[in-house]
Amino acid sequence: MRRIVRTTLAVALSLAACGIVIFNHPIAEGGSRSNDTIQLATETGATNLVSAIYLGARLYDTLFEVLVFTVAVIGVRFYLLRRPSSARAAPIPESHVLQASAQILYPLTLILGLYLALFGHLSPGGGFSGGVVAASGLLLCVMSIGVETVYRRLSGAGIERLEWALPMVIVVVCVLPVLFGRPILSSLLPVGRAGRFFGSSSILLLNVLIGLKVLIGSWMVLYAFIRHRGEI
Amino acid sequence: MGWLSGTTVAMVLFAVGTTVLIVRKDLVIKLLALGLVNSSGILFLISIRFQPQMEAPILPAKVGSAIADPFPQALVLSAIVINFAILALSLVFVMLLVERYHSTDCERIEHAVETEKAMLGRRDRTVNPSEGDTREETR
Repeated sequence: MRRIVRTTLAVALSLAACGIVIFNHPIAEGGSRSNDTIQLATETGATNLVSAIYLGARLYDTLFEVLVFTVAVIGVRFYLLRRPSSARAAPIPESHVLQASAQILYPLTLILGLYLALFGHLSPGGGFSGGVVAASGLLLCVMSIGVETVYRRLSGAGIERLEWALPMVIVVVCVLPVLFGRPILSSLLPVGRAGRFFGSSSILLLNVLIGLKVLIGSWMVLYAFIRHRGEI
Repeated sequence: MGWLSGTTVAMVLFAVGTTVLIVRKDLVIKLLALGLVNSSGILFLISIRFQPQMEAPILPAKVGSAIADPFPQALVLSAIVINFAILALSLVFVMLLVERYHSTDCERIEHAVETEKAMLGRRDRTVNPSEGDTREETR
């Protein structure tokens, strides 16, 4: 009986979703008008309009997004660190082909992540995607030289303290324009000509900070899952 | 092929995701379906303001060509990162449940929780009268 009700509900929901397509085709006609976009680009100095929006006009949202990400990382670490660690368990065996190809691929992936974060205001990319790409580079690094080696090197660089400091630094960067008599959340560094590398220095700075934050947060989630994977 | 657009694909993905989310009982598969629903939402929001002949919202665009609206894309960017974080957190909760009840089947877990609760209640009932007795004695 319960199963019948559940299946009926599922089918009804799916039909309702498809019905929206059939009866009310919701495709909007227009894109952006070019005048608006050009004005947006000259105001922020970034030619990638998506990052001009989320690090310019909607910086408030991005700030809270970073905070939500931080809270999720804290939650993962809090619940996983109370479980017994499986460091003594046998290391995950990797085939030689995977090891060798990961060794070639991980520097390239890390550099790609750095590039995406640095040029996020001029070309496709940005701090979030750059951070995630660099974190997958770290995962490839783990595959090639082993998780404990990578962990020792990174925690030797003080990466955990950096993780807790970065949200504070981002908040300070957002609040600091008040000291110069400008409204809060406005751009900290001067805006130059659109299309140059230093044309929008504050978006560049925020992209790099957010990229670092996402890289370290993703690495910590990955490490917590590898370390406390448990035994089946 | 006019009906085959991003919104249609998003709707189909949404339907598949919700169906799996409701019908299947495995918690890990439920999380995968939740990810599918999330992706369908992202695809929907991007494709409602996009048409195939439009340029990407990066200047300088070709003269005379329309640019896809950058606002939904900026909106969706946060959803992707939050999706990743929430997925990691809920996987941790599934790990804790599996460790305690040795199953990913949500009905079995519910059953185990209810029997546990019933046992706790019986123990409370056996404990409480004796406490009442001692209180009466002390009076």
